[in-house]
Amino acid sequence: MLKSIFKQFLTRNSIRDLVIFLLILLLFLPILHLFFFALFSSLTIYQVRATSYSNLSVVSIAGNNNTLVINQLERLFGNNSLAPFGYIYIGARLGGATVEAIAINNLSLAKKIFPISSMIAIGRYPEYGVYLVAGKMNQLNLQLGENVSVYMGKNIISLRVVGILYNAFFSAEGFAILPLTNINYTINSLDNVIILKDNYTALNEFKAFLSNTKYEGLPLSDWYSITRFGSSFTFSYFQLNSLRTTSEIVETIYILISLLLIFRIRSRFSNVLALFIINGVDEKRSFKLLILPFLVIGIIPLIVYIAYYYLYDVYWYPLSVVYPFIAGLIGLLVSSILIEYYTVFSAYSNQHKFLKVRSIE
Amino acid sequence: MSEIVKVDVFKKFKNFELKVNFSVNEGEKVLIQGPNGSGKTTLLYLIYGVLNPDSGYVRVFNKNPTVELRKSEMYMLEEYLIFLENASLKENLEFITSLRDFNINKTEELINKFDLPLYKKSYQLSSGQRRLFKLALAFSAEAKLLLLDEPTSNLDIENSKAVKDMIREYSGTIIFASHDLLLKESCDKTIYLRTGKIERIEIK
Repeated sequence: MLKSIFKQFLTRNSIRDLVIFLLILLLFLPILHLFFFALFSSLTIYQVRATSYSNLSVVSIAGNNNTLVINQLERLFGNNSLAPFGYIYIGARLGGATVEAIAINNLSLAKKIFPISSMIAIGRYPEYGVYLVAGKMNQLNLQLGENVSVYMGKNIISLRVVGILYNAFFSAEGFAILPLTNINYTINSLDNVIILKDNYTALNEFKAFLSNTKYEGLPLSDWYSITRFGSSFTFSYFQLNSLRTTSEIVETIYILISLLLIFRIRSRFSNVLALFIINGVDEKRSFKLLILPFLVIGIIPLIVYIAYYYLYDVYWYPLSVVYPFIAGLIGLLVSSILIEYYTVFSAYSNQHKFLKVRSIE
Repeated sequence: MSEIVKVDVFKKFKNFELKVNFSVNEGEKVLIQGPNGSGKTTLLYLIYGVLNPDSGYVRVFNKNPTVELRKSEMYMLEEYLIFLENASLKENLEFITSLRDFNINKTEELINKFDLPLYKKSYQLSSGQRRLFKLALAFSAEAKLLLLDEPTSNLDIENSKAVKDMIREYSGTIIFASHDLLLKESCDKTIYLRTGKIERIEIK
């Protein structure tokens, strides 16, 4: 009997339609992905640039006369308003990685100027320590809570891995928050200093100092640059958030399209249902007889969904996307059964309509 | 003889109303005649329970006509002949006979009698062949009550005569709707319908 039921929708025409549908989906998903990625990236950049913290100034202090410059910064802005910011190298047993780092004692301020909570796959944010992308964690065979060696210029300190980030498209491999106290380093251990205070007078005075102070015949402004914080950090993290949002939207759209497919194919069972009705098969038996065909229809779009998951999601979000993915899988199968339930019971409540159905391919 | 079908119904559609009251005795062969759109098929659907009356009742074997009754006690040759269109006649036979009880030997006997091509796909059959297949099923369903909607439509004279004889010889009760004057010979009672109402009832 099942063979006969399957024959109703596994015709040459329907298989051709299905193949075309799956091919379009395979092409359509990356295009859709790119579209939403561009959209959300733009929105994220706009949002980050709109915050007051993106206007903070960052002074590059990789020049030759740092003591003079740092003394001047401390005099103008105060020691507590300067946060070292730049790149550190972390070393593990199986290699290492370069990550962006900020040295700051105020964790709530760190959270505001580096809003990366949505990128945390595992762990809490903010905490003092290192946050690494999932792929790098796997590569270095690191576990959460493990200590790594942090190289800052000539200093080596030990820090704990406190969080795992989703993998990113272009971004750095991680991020670190270093406590300013208890660790032996100076303000110029990293290559930049963020001026946490919005003080235009002091900033203008600092700019004048750089222009007026000569070093080896050239003004210090030739050696030291001042940039906006928003433009120096934005690129390293906006993609993560956008990618995840995009992925979730694309998957939701995919599931909705798959449900439409199941709805479309179910019309091929009209004659089967009509024969059930005319031959005295009750609702419950009809429902049982059609469960397997409807599950098969539900499984067909799952093939593309699983391919999308393994080709895309597993790579970028290896640690957390398994749950929404499994929810999607179960959701599609449950939806197939619900659609079947609706199909069978609506047919039995309107039997006259079904007995008039006659479709010849 | 006991009354096995009692009908006193009112059914309203957009541009049509059916209001009929009659009964059918056990073993009777009842022909329903009337012009197109007079309500013949609607009446059969009401008796088979696929349509519900707006008011009144339909009682078949003193029960409401439910899906349960179709399993063994009544069977209908439907207006539109429904098939698994992508399956052969043989596959249709296997499928349909797995849904309810049929006298398979009788079915096969009738299929041979009508010379039906079992290995042809349903959609390759002529309208007459489709109807003959459905008639073979109906007459082998061993139902106490058979409802036949236009049983001889699209049939040639020879097969129409065969169907007429089958109706006459059937041991159970048959209610059939037809325009075929030939079938008048096989009925005990004729109900004439016009615009949803019984115009007259003729008893032989």
